[in-house]
Amino acid sequence: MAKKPTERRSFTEESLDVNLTPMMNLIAMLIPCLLLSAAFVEIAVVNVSAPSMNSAPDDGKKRLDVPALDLRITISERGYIVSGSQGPFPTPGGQPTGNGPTIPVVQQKVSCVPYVGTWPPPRSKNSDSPKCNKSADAGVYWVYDTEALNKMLMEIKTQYPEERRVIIAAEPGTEYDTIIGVMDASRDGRGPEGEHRALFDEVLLAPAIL
Amino acid sequence: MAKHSDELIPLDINDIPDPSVFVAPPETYRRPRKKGRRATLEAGLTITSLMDALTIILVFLLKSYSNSPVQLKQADDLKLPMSSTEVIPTDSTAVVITLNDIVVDDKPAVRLDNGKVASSDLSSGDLLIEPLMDKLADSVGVQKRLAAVNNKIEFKGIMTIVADRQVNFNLLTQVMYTAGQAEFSRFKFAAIKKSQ
Repeated sequence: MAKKPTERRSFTEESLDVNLTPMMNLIAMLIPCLLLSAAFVEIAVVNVSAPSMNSAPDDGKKRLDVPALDLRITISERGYIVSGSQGPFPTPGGQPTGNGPTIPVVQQKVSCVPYVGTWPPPRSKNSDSPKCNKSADAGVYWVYDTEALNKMLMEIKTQYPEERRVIIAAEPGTEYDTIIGVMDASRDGRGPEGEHRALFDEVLLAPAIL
Repeated sequence: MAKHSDELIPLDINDIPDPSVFVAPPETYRRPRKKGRRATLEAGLTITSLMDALTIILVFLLKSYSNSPVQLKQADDLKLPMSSTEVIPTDSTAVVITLNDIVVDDKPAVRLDNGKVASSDLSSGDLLIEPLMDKLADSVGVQKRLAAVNNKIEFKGIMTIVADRQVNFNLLTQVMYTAGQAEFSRFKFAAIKKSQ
């Protein structure tokens, strides 16, 4: 419809604004929906086979070819004991272990962030030291030397490239955190040039027999 | 001289002028008022900046969108350990072990006292947790009945174990033994993915 001369003057100014209100409504609906399904921590899993005391056999085929290495990592309060079918491996320094652990726990300065209100694992060994109170704290505690374990397992893997299975055994008091740490150290590692190397990814969890 | 200055300066120079001189001229000089223009200006809200902010929030939420079958809220008694694993969780029976209780598929099963199961709930050499066994047997029963009706579903015996980082191995052994008795043979231990 033709406009009156007075209306023509204001015509261009009115069309400058885009009406954003329907768009706003849409976004206001989308945000709560997405907020409900948002995951701010990403969860991943570690595959583990049942302990050997389980009555149900996990896989018939694997029982037949007995592994030549039979790698076993025992987590004790004093450290990791790494043993194979020929008995315990020597320590990274080359000394025979005797009765002690292959990779003993070390005293290190630890950040308190994950352990507020308690001690870093192994707790039984750290219980003489003061607890972690604030997350800003850092204290000297006994900790498992997971890096040394990872290095040692990479050497074992070069000797037995076909081997994929590892039995992880733990004392009853071992924390879940430590077990996951050992599984991480035994699953993969970084070579000297930073390349990714797969180690032992078939984990069998068993109670420790010391 | 006196005569000359009389000619130049008017006599009424020091007189107070008439106030009507400063008053705006009458109607004819006033700018015509636009009717209706002001009203449209007030209705338009500047929501462009708000839109910008909302769009950024939207993109952030879309990025963190997940359809992971394991959904959990971390609490004081459930802090997961960190792991470098890349395996994505699958849909399976989930057992959550916090420091205070054991939860099967979002239903509480056993209460823990100081991180231990009460000895009255244990049997077969302190390995089998009886109330947990009941709940797991129910869960297995439902899954097996579903598998019998729908041949697309198969009972694989997979269990996801979500545990607090301070849970000790003794309790984990008891849960895994109980799960083994309830025909679960493959376990998936949940952990928080370490950002690399």
